[in-house]
Amino acid sequence: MSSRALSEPNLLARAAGTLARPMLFGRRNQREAFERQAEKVFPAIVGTALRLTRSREEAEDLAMEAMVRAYEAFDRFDGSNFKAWMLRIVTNLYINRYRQRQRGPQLGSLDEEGMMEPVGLSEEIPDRILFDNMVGSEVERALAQVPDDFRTAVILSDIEEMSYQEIADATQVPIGTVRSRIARGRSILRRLLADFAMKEGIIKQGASE
Amino acid sequence: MIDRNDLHALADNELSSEEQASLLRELESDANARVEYQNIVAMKTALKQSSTSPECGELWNRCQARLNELDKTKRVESFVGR
Repeated sequence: MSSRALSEPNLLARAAGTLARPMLFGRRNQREAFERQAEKVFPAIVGTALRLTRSREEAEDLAMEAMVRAYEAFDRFDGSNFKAWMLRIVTNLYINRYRQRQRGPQLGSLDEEGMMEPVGLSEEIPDRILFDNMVGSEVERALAQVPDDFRTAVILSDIEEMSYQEIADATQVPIGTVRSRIARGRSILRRLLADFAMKEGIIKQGASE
Repeated sequence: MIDRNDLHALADNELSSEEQASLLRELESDANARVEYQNIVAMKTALKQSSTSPECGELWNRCQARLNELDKTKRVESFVGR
């Protein structure tokens, strides 16, 4: 072997050739694998971010940050449910980044555990009639008015179809709290929609099926 | 009286088969609870149907550009040996 072959620059180049290239290809493969899955769920991530933050600008920041976090942690993804994993990241980020800015108790959070309403005793406005006359934007507007904790649970359950356990993991609360937040969130939403429908004359109080 | 949360859990398919069977038996004899259950299902359907996916093609492109930057940084770091 010539002395040139063993010179320091050549050794470095050979080391780079044997070590850096597989690392490069490994990362490229990882990127492709990540993008294949991320592109499919990206609209859901952005939609959830929008519904959580209620601001286009904050939602874009949140979605972008979630993508970066997910990509950096992709080698730790267990391969089971990518969408649920991404939604957990975006929800966690939202809770940590945005909600900590808020001071004081959340509207509706004070009575979270003592909020049971007796079945069938609320105003009997048939929801089928109510919802048949609503358009998507009205439902979305009402959803935006639901207090944070309840809105988050309802979004993850009813729009993203996550299980209670997945929602509990994403929001870092016990499963019993998820159950009550979903029930309470839907109840608030229903009331908001009923108020809207009555104001707009879509339904009259005491209407029946 | 039926627990309202159980009706939501039934609509969300979150009850065990035993709990589900028991609640369905109770619902047979409770007209108010049946209406409430139907309302919950209607609410879920309305929410799902009303949710539209936002336009996010441009944001996706920006995300890819951000990931490109990340990859570039990692490549440089791996060559530099940090």
